[in-house]
Amino acid sequence: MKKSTMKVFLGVHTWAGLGTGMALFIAFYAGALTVFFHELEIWDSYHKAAVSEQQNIGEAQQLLDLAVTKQPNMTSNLRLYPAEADHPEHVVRWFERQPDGSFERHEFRLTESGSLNTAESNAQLAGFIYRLHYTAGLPTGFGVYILGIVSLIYGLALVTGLIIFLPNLLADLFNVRQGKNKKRFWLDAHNAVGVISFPWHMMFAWSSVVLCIGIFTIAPFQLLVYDDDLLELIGPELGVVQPLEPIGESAPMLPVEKLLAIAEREAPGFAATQLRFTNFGDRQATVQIFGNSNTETLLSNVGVTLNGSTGEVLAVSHPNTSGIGATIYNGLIALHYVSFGGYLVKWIYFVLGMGGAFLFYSGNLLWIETRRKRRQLRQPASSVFFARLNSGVCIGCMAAVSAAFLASRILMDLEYRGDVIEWTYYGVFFAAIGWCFVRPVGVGARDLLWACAVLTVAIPVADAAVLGMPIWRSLALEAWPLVCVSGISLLSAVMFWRMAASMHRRLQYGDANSVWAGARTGLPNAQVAER
Amino acid sequence: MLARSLIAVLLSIPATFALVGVVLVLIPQSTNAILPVLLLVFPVWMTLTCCSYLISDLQQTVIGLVAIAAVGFGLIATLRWTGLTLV
Repeated sequence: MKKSTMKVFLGVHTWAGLGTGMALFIAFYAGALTVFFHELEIWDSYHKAAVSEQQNIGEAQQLLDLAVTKQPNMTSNLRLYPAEADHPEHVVRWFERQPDGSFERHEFRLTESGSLNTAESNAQLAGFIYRLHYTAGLPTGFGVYILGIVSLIYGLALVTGLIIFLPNLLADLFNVRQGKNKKRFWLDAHNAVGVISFPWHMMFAWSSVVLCIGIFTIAPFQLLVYDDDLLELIGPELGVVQPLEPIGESAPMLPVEKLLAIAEREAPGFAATQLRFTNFGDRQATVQIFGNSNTETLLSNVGVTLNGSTGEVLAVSHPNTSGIGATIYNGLIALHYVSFGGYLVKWIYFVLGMGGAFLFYSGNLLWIETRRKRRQLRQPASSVFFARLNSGVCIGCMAAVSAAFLASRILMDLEYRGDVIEWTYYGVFFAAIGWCFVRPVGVGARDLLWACAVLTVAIPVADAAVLGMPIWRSLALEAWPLVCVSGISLLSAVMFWRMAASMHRRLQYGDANSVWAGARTGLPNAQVAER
Repeated sequence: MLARSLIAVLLSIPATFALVGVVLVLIPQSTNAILPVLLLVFPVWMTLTCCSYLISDLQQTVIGLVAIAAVGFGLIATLRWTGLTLV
């Protein structure tokens, strides 16, 4: 390839990476944690006195009956989550439609004495981290679309990055050169992580576009190609079944046990995780039963749709009988959500997710280093601004996530814990950005890394102090979500501390002609901050 | 770089819909290949965007992408109008 073409691709890689890097950093950092969504929920609600034994299916029926008696207008958007080994309680959730089109969530549980518990769970940390993953912290209404566009550009950055690295692929792939030239080190590390995880990143770019802005990528074909409703054409293949039209005639619903038995008959070996009711109590009620089946393939999601009153099976969606379209689509989604392979694959995703966050951070650092003026103290204003923003957003996000964990544990009995978690996250996040803009660049980054270390090490301390579960007790009781959160927190805290110490040394002894230079330059802080 | 990138990124969008649309017109409506073809929007867009950077002349890039879109949309309209489409 011609040198001029390579230069163009380098330019594209640069703007695409800079334009999306920070949003992707947040998405990947939060995404790596979201891999353990279910385990985080358990960590977050560990203090709750859960029922001692897994509730049986008769109790699911009892819960549903009590909930419907309590809220007779609860006919649609009604879901039953049967108890599982990790969630010994059945849960009924009703998403009540509000006049403005939004939904209000109601939760129902069965107490051990058999009465109805309508208290909302205040364990919302996992949900918040997940939202952070697909919105990067922007308002959900448009954040998801912004992340979709970011994913498009991310794909472009990946391909152009690979193209510019290809000529040196064999020579440089495993060659991370540590030395005086820090730019060389960051470039080698950036290339190694980027190229090794390239297929995984491409899958994420593609699946994220499908998940976030998929509807916009297929909508034009409705106008261009099809007279019929395109969604009706592809819906059945994806297991999307329109609910039956209600006839306004009440009829008894089939018992939950019977509904599950029909689903089991249609999809042997199927473990239900969710029952969705539409037009509950109507003769034409629809029940969609979703769950997992051990197919020993990438795909495990099964769906059975039936008439809730008569038991007539309306549709069955099973990986073994799926068409090529559903297999490709569901395969892509399964790869994104890591709904296969068990804990080994989840840990691999966790490491790759953190590696992805490093990729974007190091890419931004490279840009700053590339523009460095080696023979003068004053550095370009754009480099200084970007260094501040990069440190504030990326390190600030990590500090804010640790603070959210901490707040969630310390305020575990607070009714509005979910809100407080969000305020804590955004408070720390924006304070971190502000701090980077009022302090010299390197000093701000170092302080934030100290803050990260302190906030992160405080998580297992809070587990011990507030919950009475120090890590050794969690180990003894085999409370693995607590053990893992504490272990990862301690490890991360050590890494943050080492990075902060390294940054501190950089400030004291590093080259003065850099945006990261510190007090050794002899410049007053205000002057250093300008550079 | 800004003008070049805007052209590459934005003009590749209609060209992508035109190319994928032509394939969709030629696929029977009943086939389960519709979904995989719809999923090709992202890879096709990315390929077109990257390839458009290979053309050194900006004007030629614009002409190329507009031509792909125009020919594609024209083909879709013609196939549908003549009834040769399998949709």
